[in-house]
Formats: sequence, structure tokens, C-alpha cells
Amino acid sequence: MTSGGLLTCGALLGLAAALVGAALPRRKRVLVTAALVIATCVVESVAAIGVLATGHPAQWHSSQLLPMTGATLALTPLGAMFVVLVALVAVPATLYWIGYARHGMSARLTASSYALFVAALLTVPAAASVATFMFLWEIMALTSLALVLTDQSRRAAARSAGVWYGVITHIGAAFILAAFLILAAHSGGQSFAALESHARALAPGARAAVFLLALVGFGSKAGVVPFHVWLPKAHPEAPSPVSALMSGAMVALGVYGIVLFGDVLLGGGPVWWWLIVLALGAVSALFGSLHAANSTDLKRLLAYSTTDNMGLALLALGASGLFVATGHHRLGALSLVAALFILMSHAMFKGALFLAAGSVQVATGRRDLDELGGLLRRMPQTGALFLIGAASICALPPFNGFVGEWLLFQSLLHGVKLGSTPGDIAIPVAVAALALTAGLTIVAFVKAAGVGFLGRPRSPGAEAAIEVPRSMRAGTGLLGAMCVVAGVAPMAILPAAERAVRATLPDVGSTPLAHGVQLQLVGVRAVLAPTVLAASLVVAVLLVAFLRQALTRRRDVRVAEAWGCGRELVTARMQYTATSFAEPVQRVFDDVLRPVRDIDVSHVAESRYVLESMSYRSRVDDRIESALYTPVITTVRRWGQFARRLQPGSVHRYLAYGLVALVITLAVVAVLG
Amino acid sequence: MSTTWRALGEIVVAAVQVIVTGVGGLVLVGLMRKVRARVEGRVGAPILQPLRDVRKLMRKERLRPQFATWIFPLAPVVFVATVSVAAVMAPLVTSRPALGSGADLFVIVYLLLLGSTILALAGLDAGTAFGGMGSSRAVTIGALAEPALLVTILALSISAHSSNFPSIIRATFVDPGVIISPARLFALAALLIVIVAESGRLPVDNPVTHLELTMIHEAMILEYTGPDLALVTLGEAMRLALLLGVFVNLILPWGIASSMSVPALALGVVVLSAKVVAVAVVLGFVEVFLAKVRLFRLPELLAGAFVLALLGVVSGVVAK
Amino acid sequence: MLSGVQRGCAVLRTRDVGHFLIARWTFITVPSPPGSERTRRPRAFLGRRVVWSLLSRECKFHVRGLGRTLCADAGSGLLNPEYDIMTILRYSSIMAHELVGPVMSLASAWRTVRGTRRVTESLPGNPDAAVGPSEIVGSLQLRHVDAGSCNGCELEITSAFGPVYDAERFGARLVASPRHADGLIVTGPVTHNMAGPLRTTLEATPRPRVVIALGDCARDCGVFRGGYGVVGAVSDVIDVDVTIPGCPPDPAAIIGALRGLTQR
Repeated sequence: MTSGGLLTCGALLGLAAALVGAALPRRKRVLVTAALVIATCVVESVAAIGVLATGHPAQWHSSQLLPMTGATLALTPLGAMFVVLVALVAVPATLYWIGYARHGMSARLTASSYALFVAALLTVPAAASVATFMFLWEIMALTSLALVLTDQSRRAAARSAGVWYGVITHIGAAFILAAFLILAAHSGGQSFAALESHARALAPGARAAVFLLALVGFGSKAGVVPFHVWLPKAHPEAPSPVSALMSGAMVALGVYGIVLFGDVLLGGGPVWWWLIVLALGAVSALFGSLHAANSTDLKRLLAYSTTDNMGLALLALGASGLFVATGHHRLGALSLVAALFILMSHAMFKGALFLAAGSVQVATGRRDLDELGGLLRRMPQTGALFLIGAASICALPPFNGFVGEWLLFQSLLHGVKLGSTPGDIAIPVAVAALALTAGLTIVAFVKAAGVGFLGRPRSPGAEAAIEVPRSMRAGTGLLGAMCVVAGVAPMAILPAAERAVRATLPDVGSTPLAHGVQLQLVGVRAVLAPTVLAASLVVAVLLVAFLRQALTRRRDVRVAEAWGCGRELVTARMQYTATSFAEPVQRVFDDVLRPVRDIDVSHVAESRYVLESMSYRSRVDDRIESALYTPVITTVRRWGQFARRLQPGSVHRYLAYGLVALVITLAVVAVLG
Repeated sequence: MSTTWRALGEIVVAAVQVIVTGVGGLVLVGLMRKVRARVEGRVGAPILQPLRDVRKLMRKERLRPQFATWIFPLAPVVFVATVSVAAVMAPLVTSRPALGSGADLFVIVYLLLLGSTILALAGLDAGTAFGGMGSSRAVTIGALAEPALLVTILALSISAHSSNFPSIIRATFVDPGVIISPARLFALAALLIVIVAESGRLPVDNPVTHLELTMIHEAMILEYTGPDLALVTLGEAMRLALLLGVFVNLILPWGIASSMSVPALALGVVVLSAKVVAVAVVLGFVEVFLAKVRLFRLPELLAGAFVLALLGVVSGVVAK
Repeated sequence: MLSGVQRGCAVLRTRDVGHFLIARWTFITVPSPPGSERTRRPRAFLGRRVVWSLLSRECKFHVRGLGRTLCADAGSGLLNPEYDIMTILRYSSIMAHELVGPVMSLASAWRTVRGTRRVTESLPGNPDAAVGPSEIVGSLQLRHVDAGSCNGCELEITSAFGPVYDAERFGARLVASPRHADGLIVTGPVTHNMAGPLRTTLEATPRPRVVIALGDCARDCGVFRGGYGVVGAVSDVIDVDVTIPGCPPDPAAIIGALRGLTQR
């Protein structure tokens, strides 16, 4: 079957899964829907791998499906990369869902929304006309909104998160639509091929407007500062497999959109576009990692770190555009490969982290790190998988995050001293942002893994935790295994990424990477041997452990009370909490974070000098939300209150409005003729 | 036949570098203590005392805190393993180390980071307040030292057009004038401050403090005994030796062996030891006159290192 | 930090005004002229303090001095290639004057070091016969526990590990955690409050371990025998391996006991 045929087959399977999810009774619903969703993912990824292997895009067109415009699907190598990315997260998340469903995710609406969501995620990268793209984008947004609101009847936070998410995602969609419309208006057709060919004739002002609109629209989907405020609200409230999909796959499609507009449709742009992307990426990375380091809610921490990683991807993307705009195509290709690899490894480790966090929430009933602890002993496999995910996101060798950071660092390193002043100024700043982000991510994840999983349980819920069912562990384990494999053998993914990049960027001659056991950059002296590194680490660990065993005289290991300076009672409350762990970082950056401290003091009735009680609350708010969004919301509310006065409920008043409007219209028509 | 000989040679070279780093690191720690003692008018412990300490620790009982997990015994092993792999990779004794093709400065930095991170996790694993405090401070300092470190690597790599460590050394041989270039000097000044921060020496951290509230690194390892403590001590000493070895080979790489013959290797060992001992003596001497900086003044110090590194990058870019 | 102002100079020279303004900007403590009492708590505003710290003497960079020199000649910077020899000499002497500061402090440090003669007394000959486990021969780390002493023995311990007696040269060292120690050195009679912690500390010490009871109070309660807060001597609470009598014991006796354990 051709790739195009496989593509449609996959879409149909996704639709079938949605119908099955709505139709079947509860006992079989989740299992059958999940099986169909997995089948969809497999079929679509086979189609995508076929496209990547041959390099020929897969096409499919139907003029009946969507009214007036028809539906066009064309899977380019770039889109195929993203389809594989989505499938890599969706299959484990669906496996996880099978075990998770009895915790509130087995309703008809939820099951069918989930299936539709996955199907939309898989097909958005294949969309090849404006109508198809917007249609699928809207389906993706609406189904994910329905999934975020799964728990809304029980929690007010879920309702609020749904509102924020819905509004921001639709404003973003409006921006994207505006960008598409400007392009389509000048091309006379709405297929991407037509847009691409006519876009070069566009005036520079219009091109810049299109790019900026697309940047805002897709940036809000990718969770880039300052449009990120929905991320820390929506991702924690969504059910865990949905959070994994949203954080791993959906935000990556935001970056896909920026690549689509910047490199494919508009065919590259002037340097200042990419400097803006670079700046947004650096700010997002720093902001996200700083807030992740200061969050005590486990899922909020993961959501902020998604902003951080998307910032890194944008950093790579901006560098790529910068190099291409200044004429260094091979380096630009390398940066884009780094961006794609960062997105793929992010999907893997963020998926694993969110699924593990979901398991923790199911087992303990809590999400706050200050109430967890000691979980590695009670949930050994989930804990180990969280540790693998944490090591990957901290970019520690030999996992996949490290390879992505190395690629990004090398591309930035070789981009200095190329003769372009903006690049020479931007790149050291980018390297500094990358480094500080890496350090703060380590703080965040040592905190999450150490306070959450190690030590002693800090609450009865944590103490009573037991390991989750096998399907949930299998889903998380699949993603953890992918992290390890991608770190030890990134050569499995990189050739595909290269092919995608060469099909996207113009004038890239040879591949930027040489294949083989090592990663070698062509034309510059940079080599990374991830397999050898991993193997030597394993050998070294085994050797050192063996030597330790061989050279110790005493064989016994005595279990003793932890040393508490001789105190005879050492309780779980004496451990460091997440708040205290991050306190040095908070103090260093308190100029940026401006933590809010509330101190309530109540005095005894008789005297003002005797305290009855005192409470201290400290929290780190999202300053962008309070500085940018709260004023806008307050203003809109105020105008809304004012507008309410126009609707007192009296029919006479409404009739009068109609009369006045009619008179004014007639007068205008009479005057203008 | 020749490939097996070459493989054997590589293993020998790797072993030599690890042993030199290990034993040399412990001797270095003893030497710095001795220098401090002499300057203070004391006799001080013998230079080989740390070796005796490690030998004694291997014979002691192993204790494990009640609520610790498998991370607790694994962390010292991984700590030493990562430093050993970095020692095998770095061009210390020879400019063609085993695994040298992938010997990127970035990789070495991240290997050391892996070791520190898992040790920080082990500090939290003990479930005590001291462990958490040590971990919290150690990762904060690591986070603040990262920008300085990576921008330093950027500055060092600009002139050699590569961050591959043997390539940087070979570029120095080709053009010795690069050593006094402002880029290199600024980068090395920043690197020195970062090395002091990463290996926990004054003015960042006092290695001989007895007050838990002033500890950064020792608070993390307060629960370790016996062979685990021996491994941690060895790992810290190896890290110090490795970082100082990297530092001296970036300043003056001459004397490094470029072939695998025994006399060249022996000369490489001797020259490396002499250079590292010289730097260590100077560091030990300067440490006597320094007091530990307040914890919340450390960001200023590390930001100063960052600015120096940035100046190095700027000079590297501006130079022709 | 503001050494210029701190020197008590009330004359507002240009550089002091500059320092004052920069200090206010960075919100650090500004010592006011004598008579007024206004200080501000320093806050960790990172960015501003970084810039200021680079300009402050504490970083031991004399960029400030150079900056002052350069700023003073803002109209004609040192980088002007059209200078004549006299101007160059003048500027070089100003810069040398700024560099004299750190050079002088290095020189004074060197003088201090050279002037410090060894104060440690040599102690004779061989140590006594071995009394402890064989593992600790050559290397002994001790954790000091004050079970209720008057601190006289602590002063002698401090003296024993100080420059004159220098117990470190015989392989002994004081450590902070009993986990890192080979034994405890206990001073004072054991009081009620310290009996439990003493046992806990011993339990926390890995084997093989020694217990050294230092002083008459540790040996047999000394002058505190029968006191209401005292449980007993150290040997009544935990097993003791080495006893050092004296009230307080001479540091030489302490060293003798330690040498017996380390055999050096």
C-alpha cells in the first residue's frame, strides 16, 4: 500500500476509534478504543517511516471531505518526523491509559475525545492546505480542551484551567488563521504548494507580518514566553496520559508550525526574524527552568520545564534560521537537526516524566512534593523510570537529552566568528542561557526526584503508596527505554532528522552529520561517541563496584538510624522539603521572581503585645501572568460590567435599540447615497 | 596483530591516566594540607596521609541509613566511575588518550556533572536535614557555575575551531602565541574560579570545616562510612586532580606525550605531576589568606567568572 | 567595602560621590557620616551586586582604580595613539600606583610567611605500645563528644591539635560526623541529658572503633562526683578503650595516647 493510502487508513482508524469510544459500553470501551488508537499510531508511523526512507512525500486529496475546499494531506519528510514523534508518545500513553482509565478517564466523551485527539495530532503534520490544517488544528484544540475538563465537575482548578486554555488556544488559532489568510489572499489557492510558490513574490512587510502572526499563534501553542500561561494551569489538571501527549507532542506541533511558516512556506527570512525567535527561546528557557526550580507541585514543575525545553528548541531554530540567512547552510542544517532531536528527546523524556508523575498521583493521591517522599522504596519501577526521565532532561550522559544539548552546543559554537555581527552577539548570549537553563533544570529535577522519591514519606498518602498496575508501568517503561536507546544509539534517529532537514532547507549540500558509531560533524572537528561513552561508563561502574567489593575487609552492611546529631528522635519532618531545597535559588533570583509573602498575625484580645497565632505563606507567582494578563482581564471585565448596563432586561429598551439602529442606518445610507 | 597491540596500548594508557589521577589526587590533597600547615607554622600531616586514610576506610564497617534506597550505595561508585571515564578521556599524560576521539570539553564537564548530581541525590536519600542542605547548596552552586563553565569552553574553542580537547592542545602546539591571547587568559581566569567552586575549595567551601551549617559538599556525604566514604574521598581527590590537570594542560601543554612509547609516557607523567604540583602549591598558599565567602555572596563570585568568560569570548571574536 | 568612605573621610571627593551613588543603586550598606545611624540591609539583587562587586576591592581587581584613572581622563582616553611620551609616562605611573596596592599586599603576605617560623615542638622517639585495633594504625579520625565537661579538656584538645603540639603530624584528625570517625574522644562526666546522645553517637560510629575518655571527669567523674545532673563516668555508659587522666591532661599526654593508637 502506498504511503498515501496508509495515511488515509490511519485517519480512518482514528475516526473508528472515536466512534467506538462513544458507542461501546464501559467494560470494553477503554480496551478496544486503546487498541484502535495504537493501531492508528502504528499505521501512521509506518507511512511516515516510508516517507522518511524514500524521501518522496505521500499525497492524498479529496474534494468531498471538507465543504468548499476539499481536504489535502501531503506528508513531507519534515511532517513525517513529527508524525513519528507523536506516535512515539501516543503508543505508551495509550497503554498507560488502559490502566489509568478507572481513575476517572473512562467516560464516553473522554474516550472518544482521546481517540480524536491522537488522530488529530497524527494528521496535523500531514495537512497540506489551509482548510485541512485549520480544521485539524481546531479538532486538536477542542478535543484537548474536553480532555482538560475531564475532572471539572470535582475541581474548580480544572474549570479555571480549561477556561485559560480554551481562550489562549483560540486566540492563537486566530493569529494562525490570519497568517494563513494573508498568504492565501496573495496566492489564489489554499494548498501549501500554492502558498509556497506565491509567497516569494510577497512584499517584505507582508512577509514579516505573516511570520510574526504565525510566531505568536504557534508560539502560544508551544508554550513560549509570554504566551505560556496556560501551560502550568492546563497540563497539571489534565489526566496524566493527556498531559504526556500535550506536553510531549502537542507543543512540538507548535514548533512544527513555526518551522512550517519560517522555512517551508516563506522560504526563510531576514536575520531579524530569527533573532526574535532566538530571543524568545532564550527567555522561555530561562523563565521555564527558573520557575520549574521553584515549583513545589510536581506536575506544574514538569509543565514549566516543558516551556524550558521548547525554549531550547526555539533557540536551535533561531540559530538555524540565522545561519541560513547569513549564508552558512550546512550549519543551519545542523541547528535544525539539533532542534528536531531536542523535540524528539523531549517527547520521550517528558512523556515518561508525566506518566510517572501520574502514577505517583494515583498511588498517593497527592501532587505536592512537600507531601511526598520515600516513594522509590514503595514504587520501585515507577521511581526508577522517573529517575531515568529526570537524568535525561538534565542532559546527563548517557541519555538522550545529552546528545541533543551537545548538538545544540556544537552548532552554536561553530556559528561564532562567521563574520555576522548579530550572530556574534547573539550566540554567546544563547550559550549562556543554555548553560544557566541546564543548571537550573538540574536543581529542579534533583528536587523533584530527591524530595519526591527519596528520603522518608512526608504524609500518610505517601506512606501508603503501592506500585501501580502493569499497564501503567509498561507505558512509562516504554518511554524510559526509548530515552536510554536514543541516548546510547542516536544514530537510529538522526539520519531521519537529516533527511527531513535537507528536504526543508534549501541549498544544503552534504549531510551535516556523518553516520556510523560516532557522531561526526562534517567540515568541523567535532566528534561524539555516545555508544562508546555509555559502554565505558557501564564498564567503569562495574569495575569500581567490583573493586569495592574485592577490597573491603568486612562484608556486612549494618542498617543504622540516620545521624541527627545525637538526637534520639529523627522524624520525617526534619528532612528538607521542596520549598527549602529551592530556597537558595529563590534568594539568588528574588529580583526576578519577587516571591509574595503573606504574614498574618493575630493578637490576643487583651493585649497587642501577646501573639495568639501567626501564619506565614510564601509563593512564587508567575510574574508575566500578573503583569500582562491580569490587567487585560481586569480591563475586559470592567468593560463587560459597563456593557451590562446596556442589557437591563427591559423589552422596551431593546425595541428602542432596534429603532435607533434602523434610523442610523437609514440616515447613513441616505447621506452616503 | 598490530590492532591488538594498539588496543592493549590504549588500555595501558587509560590505566596510567586513571592511576595517576587517583593516586596523584590523594597526594595532591595531602600536599595542599601540608603547604597550609607549613605556612601556619605547623608541621602538618604527612603528604601521603590521605592514602593511609583511604586504606583505613576500606577496612571499616559499612553503614546504611534506615530509609536509604539503592541510590545510596550506587552514588559513590558512579561518582568515581564518571571521574575515571573523564580521566581516561582527557589528554593529561598523552595527547592521544584512549577514547580521545570523543574527548570533548563539553563531555568532560557533563560527566563530572553526572557524578555531582547523583551524589546530590544520595544526600537527599539519607533523609536527614544535613543531606538536604548539602544537596541544595551544592546544586545551586553548580547551577550558577554552569554558565561560566560553558562560556569558558566557548572561549577556549573559538581559536581552535573545535571543542575537542586534543584538538585544542594540538592547536596550542601549532601556534604557541595563543596562550597569551586575551581570549585564552580571560577564559583561564574564569576556569580557575570555576575549578575552585566545583572542587569545593576556599573561598567557596571550606574542606576542613566542622560546622555543619557552613558545609556545602561535606554535608551531602555526612552519612557515608567505610568503603563508600573511601570512594567519595577518592572521587573528590580525582576530580581535583583532573580539573587541575585540564587547567595546566590548557596553559602549558608542553611535555605531554604524543606517542605511545614508554619513555614518552613516563616523561608525560613526570611533567604533568610537576605542573599540577606547582599549581596546587600556589593554590594552597593562596587559600591560607582567604576566608570562606558567605553563601549568598557566591553568586557574585560566579557571575564575575561568567563576565570574565564572556570577555574571553568577545576578545576571541574580535581578534582576527 | 567602600574603603574610601570607610576611611572616615568626610570630604566628598568625586570618587566618593560616585561610590555612594553606585552603592545606593545596589542597595548595599552605606556607612553614613558619624552621627547618623542609617543603614540598609543588603539584598541579594544579583545583577546590580555583580556589577558592583566587579568594581569593589573585595574581588581584588583593581579595575576600579584603572577605571577611575581612565574616567578621570575621559576627554582623552589612554587609547589615544597621538599621545606624547610625557603623557604616556604620566598615565603609566598612575596605573603603576594602582597596581602597587595588590603587589604590596602580596609582598606583605610573603613577608608574613617567611617570618613565620615553625612553632611546633618536636616530640621524642617512638610511640608507646599499640593499644587499639590494627585498622587505625597510621590514620585515626576522632569525633569529640562533650558529655558534660567544664570545657577545660576541650581547650587542651584544641591546644593538642594546634600549632605547638600538632597532633595531625601523627595521623590523627578531628572530624565532624561520627560516621566519618574511628572513635570518640569523650570529655566530662556523663550528664543525664547527654547519656542517650552519647550512646547514639557511639552507635553511629562504624566499627572498628575506640573510645577515649579524656580527663579525670571522664575517668571517674572528677570533682563532679555525686552531682545531681551526673549519671556517671564514661565507662558507666559505654565501653572505654583508652583513658587519659589529668584535670586537665597535658596536651603531651593527649598526644602520647593518640600516638599509641596510630603508632606514629
